[in-house]
Amino acid sequence: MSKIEEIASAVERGKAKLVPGLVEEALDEGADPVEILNKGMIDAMSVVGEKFKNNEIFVPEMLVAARAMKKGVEVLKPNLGGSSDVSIGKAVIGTVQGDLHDIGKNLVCLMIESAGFEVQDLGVDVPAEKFVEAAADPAVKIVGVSALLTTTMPAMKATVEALNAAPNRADFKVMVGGAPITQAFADEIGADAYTPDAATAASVAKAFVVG
Amino acid sequence: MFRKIPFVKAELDVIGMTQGYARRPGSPIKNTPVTPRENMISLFYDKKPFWLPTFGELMMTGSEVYTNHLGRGRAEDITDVFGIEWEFVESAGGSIVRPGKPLLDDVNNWKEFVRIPDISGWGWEEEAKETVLDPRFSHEMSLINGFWFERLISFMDFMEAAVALIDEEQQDAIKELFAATTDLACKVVDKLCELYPLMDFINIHDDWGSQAAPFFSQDVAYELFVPYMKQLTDHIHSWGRKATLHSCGHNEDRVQCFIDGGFDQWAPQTMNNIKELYDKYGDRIIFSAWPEQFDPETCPEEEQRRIARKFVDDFSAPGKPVILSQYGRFALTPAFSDEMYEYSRKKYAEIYG
Repeated sequence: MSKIEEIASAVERGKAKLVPGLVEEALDEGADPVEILNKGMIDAMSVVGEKFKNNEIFVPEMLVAARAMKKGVEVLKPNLGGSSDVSIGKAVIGTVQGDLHDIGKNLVCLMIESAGFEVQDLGVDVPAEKFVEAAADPAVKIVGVSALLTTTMPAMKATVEALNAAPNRADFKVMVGGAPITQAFADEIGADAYTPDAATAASVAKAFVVG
Repeated sequence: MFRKIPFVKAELDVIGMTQGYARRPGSPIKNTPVTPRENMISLFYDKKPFWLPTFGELMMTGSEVYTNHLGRGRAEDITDVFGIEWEFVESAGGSIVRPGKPLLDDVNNWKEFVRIPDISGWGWEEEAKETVLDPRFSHEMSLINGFWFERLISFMDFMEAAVALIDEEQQDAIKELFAATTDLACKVVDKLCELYPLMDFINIHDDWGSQAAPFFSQDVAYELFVPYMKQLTDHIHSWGRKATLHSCGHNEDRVQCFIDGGFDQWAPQTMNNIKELYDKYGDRIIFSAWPEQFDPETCPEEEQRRIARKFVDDFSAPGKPVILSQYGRFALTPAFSDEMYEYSRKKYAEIYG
């Protein structure tokens, strides 16, 4: 097993204490930092996302894997040199106004971050104007809008409408999700994408940005 | 105890209305040959109901003493006895802790921050004296929640609570915390059973899943939750009461945990495959089930009656009774309700008579 494969395995198993050391060892052995990031971590998190989607692992295992990756990225970052901007874009994500649920939103934040995005978590109970304000940052490529309650679906509609009216709307994609949300609802309110789970959200967001 | 009593049309006469619960309207009371309570007892203890009952016949009762101190089920913001602030969300009809201010970041520290309360002076006796229970119905003390995963989430926020479940350095502390919260739950059960002789059921809440899947693995469930569930349900059973479970989410893969945890009944949400659950586990746990969807505004009466008969046929294997779930509330038109009652009365008289 190569060092990068070892890193990938440790990330998948959520071994946060092991990953930084393995990354250091890989760097000492002359491994390419970008390859460590892409193959040792981002690809590993894709595997984790797939397993989560298929109910082979559950929320805790996914969370510890994301944390393990984060620890590795901390070691890796100063070594990326000319490729120091490891982010493929910025994503702002929040739960709509009137809704305090954060589980789905947090999982999406983690998976999107693990896919290579810089994430700004807006939190819960976020008014539409806050989403628009955050989306005004030219670095933002993805705006993620979450709602768990059927009663906060109108707030999601209002948020997406406000985002659609933003002058820089062409610069970012709007993604929606949450238990009561469907593709039909996403289409109706003018979102660019609906995804049913965090892993799919990460792969769709990545596809939007890197094709 | 079941006895064969032939159905007569007069049973369909409405002789009153039940009391509503949680600001919902009550339901019509039929002119039944035995009381709804007798039917429910026969269903749970002998697995031989006289008819297929609705959720409204297992009357939900709440204790303000409980919710005032433990923070759930009140239609207002409240700070519970552990200092956790619950926000009531009017549109959802429930309470939630606003994330971001967790009491604990490591379960190992729980004894520093969590004091298990002495419940004896909370005013249980006064509340019980003012509470009148209708002896025609079975009563279920509802909203008895917040002892296990829900409580851990309230202390840590969801993400940290979830991670703690598989953190070997926190698992022993979780067990210690759950042992303490389960002891507390047993003391609550003692109060309820001492003061409410007519309370046949205690409904325990612990949400285990999202819309799509359980939050945690079966191994985690057996390691950290099932032993404490069993301790509590054994205690409920020692009082001659039945333990029912409210666990929201797509938890059909965890039903064996609920059975091994000693629960007598589970009311799954509709993202679970109720027919598969019933066929596989219906002889070991009583389900609250629902019929196929129809729009009561537009569905013709004959079609409603057909759906009622099919519902009874689908969920009436001998020894595997069900209750109509609150998620079948949409179906309770006069036509559906009468047909479900009459058809199940006749069918059960045949099966069990």
